[in-house]
Amino acid sequence: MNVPVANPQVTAFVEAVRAELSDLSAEERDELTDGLEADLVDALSDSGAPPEKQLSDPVDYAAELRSAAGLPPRAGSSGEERQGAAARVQALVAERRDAVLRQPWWPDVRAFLVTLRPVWWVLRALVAAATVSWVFGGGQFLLALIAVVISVEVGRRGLAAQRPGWRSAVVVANGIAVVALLLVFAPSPGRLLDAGRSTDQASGSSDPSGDGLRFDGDPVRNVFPYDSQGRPLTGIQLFDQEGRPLTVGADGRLPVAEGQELLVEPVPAVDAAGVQRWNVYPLRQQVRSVNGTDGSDPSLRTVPPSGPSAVPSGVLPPSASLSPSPSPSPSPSASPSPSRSVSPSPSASPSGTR
Amino acid sequence: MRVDTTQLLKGVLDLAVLAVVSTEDGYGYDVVRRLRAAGLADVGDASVYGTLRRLYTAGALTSYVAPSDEGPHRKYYGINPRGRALLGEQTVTWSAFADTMQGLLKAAATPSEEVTR
Repeated sequence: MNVPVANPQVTAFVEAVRAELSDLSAEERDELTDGLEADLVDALSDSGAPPEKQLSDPVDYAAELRSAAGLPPRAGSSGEERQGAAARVQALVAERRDAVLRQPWWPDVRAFLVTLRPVWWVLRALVAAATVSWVFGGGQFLLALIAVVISVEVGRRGLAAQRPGWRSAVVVANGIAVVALLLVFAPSPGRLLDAGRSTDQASGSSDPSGDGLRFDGDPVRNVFPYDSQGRPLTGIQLFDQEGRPLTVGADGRLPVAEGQELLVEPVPAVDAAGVQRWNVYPLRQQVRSVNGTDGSDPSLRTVPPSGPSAVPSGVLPPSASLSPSPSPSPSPSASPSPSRSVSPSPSASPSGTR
Repeated sequence: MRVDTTQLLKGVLDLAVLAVVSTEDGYGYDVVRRLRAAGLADVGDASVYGTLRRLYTAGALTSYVAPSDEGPHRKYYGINPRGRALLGEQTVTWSAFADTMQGLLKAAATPSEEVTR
């Protein structure tokens, strides 16, 4: 029998294989690689294939050795293990993707989505502009315009595909936009518009959402105005110093009494245009049963305002000499739109009255 | 599932290696060469070396080293009584399995005759 001759390429390959087995015990590693060099020298001389081809992949070779020997795949923090896991995930994703791509409906769906791409370009730009103006304030419209132009140009020219540096940037930006969209739309669809809440301050219409009026920390459920003679007033519209309608909060809906299945809920006034107005006092109130155990529809009845029985009569309004305030009442028209100039301003009240 | 000789080999490599070594002691590549000469052309050398090592650890093989002054040494494997017992068991298992497969395939190859009969 011929004697194997040392071959530096084989020696290097065996060293590489042993390095791949470095997580095994020395005994196991020696048993696996003992005689391997001689075997490989023989194999090389037998096959006639160039050593570069036969000895190309010590990682694969070591993996085959271990698997045939019944040893676990390389474990721990080695890069090979992570690559293996990543490759498995990649293969799984590719498999799923190919399954979708083979579907007969895929070409149509793809064409549809491609057609919708410009919508996404505009949407992400609006999200970016809304976010920026929400954080820093300032010119929403201009920002949105600039953002839309940039976003559409990036998408239209396919900049992401052309330059490798842009690609990851666009991917990251898209991801942020998606997250921002989810954040904005998940709690309530109206929040995006709230970013520009300064624009609808002057409107008399407003939902009873949010906290609303509070007195000593408790929510105010209704307001009962009386005139200087002690006569109850109705249809009184209230605004704050900024011209915002003063509304009770959503938690104006409260149980009639502890343990009862009835709710008192305020009913907004409705102006001629059909817009609900929550700042017209006193709000009508209705009692509604929570559960219809009696089989009837939720019973509705108007509750007379439980205002003060003893009306302080003869209350004098602040005299004109002491209070040179601008005429405070918004127009009694059905749809008041008080501007800041006509709103009662606390700065106008004299400080010396208290 | 794709059935090729590589897949089939995985199940019977132990048996094949035991059979080769039982006729004559051999070192790693020698076993590979004999398996290939017998017709298992697709057998991977690392798979054979790993199998030899596993059978040795399981106590079915003995091993000894033939030192070399000039180059790397060769590691020989030989069968022992335990290996022979294992070879006997696995031969029975394989024969039964092969017979079952033969019967299945024979029935599949002649379906029309079954129907006309």
